Amino acid sequence: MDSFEQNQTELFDRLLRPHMERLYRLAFRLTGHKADAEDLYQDVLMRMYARLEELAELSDPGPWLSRVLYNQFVDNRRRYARQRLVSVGEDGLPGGTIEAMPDTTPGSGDPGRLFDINHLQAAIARLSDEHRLVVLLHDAEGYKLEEIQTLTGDPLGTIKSRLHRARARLRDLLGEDGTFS
Amino acid sequence: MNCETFETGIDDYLDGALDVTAAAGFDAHLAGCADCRARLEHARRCIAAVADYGRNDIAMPEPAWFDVALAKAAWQGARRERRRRWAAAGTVAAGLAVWLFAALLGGTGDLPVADAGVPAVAMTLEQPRTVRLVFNSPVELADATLTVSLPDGLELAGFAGQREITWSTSLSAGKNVLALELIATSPLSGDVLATLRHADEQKTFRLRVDVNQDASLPLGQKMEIIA
Repeated sequence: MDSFEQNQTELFDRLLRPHMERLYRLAFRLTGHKADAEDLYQDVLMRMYARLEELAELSDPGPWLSRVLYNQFVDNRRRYARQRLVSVGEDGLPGGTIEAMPDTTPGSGDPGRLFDINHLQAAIARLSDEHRLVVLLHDAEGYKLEEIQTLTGDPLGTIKSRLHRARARLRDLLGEDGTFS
Repeated sequence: MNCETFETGIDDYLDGALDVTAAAGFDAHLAGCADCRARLEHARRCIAAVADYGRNDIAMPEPAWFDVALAKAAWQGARRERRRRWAAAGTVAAGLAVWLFAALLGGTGDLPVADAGVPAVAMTLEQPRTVRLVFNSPVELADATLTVSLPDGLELAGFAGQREITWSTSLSAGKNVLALELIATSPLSGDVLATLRHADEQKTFRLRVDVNQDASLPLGQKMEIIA
């Protein structure tokens, strides 16, 4: 590695490192799986190196990086659309409903939790991809509506509507006694 | 305000997105409606539960994983950039080679024999090296084709990812030089084949390439060992 490349590598590290965890969390939110998140994350990092000059000119690279990652996710999803797993309703699950599956999660019965974690996870899984992404980014990751707009490019009103619909659906699915309806 | 209106605006109320007047209307309705107070509390609990879920459902990788991911991306990015630059230079080199043969048009004749002065060449990983193949032809050859076949892990600058490249060319009587700028992208020991075809005849020349594996072990491999 020559001195030019050494300098580029150091710049790359300095610019990317503050955003790494947030980017990884976004990759996980988008893909929903650790292995896919890691692949997407690594792919985007490598592409970032080629856009180092562009990155260095930004005063706040965070939103731009998130947008690049999101676009890469969308591109990948289009490319591999035919290979995606098809989600099935509870009727399609072997062994009956989600509740019928044995709970092996340690501590999942902790009465101090707001809701049983499995019930909540199952409820979130029932949301559409678009609703799930918005509610997780907003309510779990703390993204502002405007930040989600920057990310997805969708109109603000659409994002807000998705958030409200997603929350309403979760309220319906999660009974007031903490059970999964 | 009735309960239906309250439910419609419950998220705006919770997010503080209502103006003062509208918020006051919601407060007034809440004061007199136990159902909507319960509804509001449930909505708050749901949002808090999602936030709680978000804090715990992602198993973040160890810090070392991020270090490796960054280093790997930098190494791969730098490598890709090097190859892009070499490819740009190689396009010029390839153009010169084509020009060399095109300038030596002549009649037909027997196929040449290879000058076996360079039967093998040693290379270092990721460092381009120009290899000159010398074809010694007893007669001029017009309308010949030359096909260069590369083993996996070896690329011709300007033709990234191509395992086989074919030129239309002509050779003059005497020595004809073909300069090939090669780049080894992985450790290998293999043969470059240059096949010259003219009329119904063809002759294949073989060049052994050995890539020095110790000179530059890919960082990605080193990192995987560490991880």
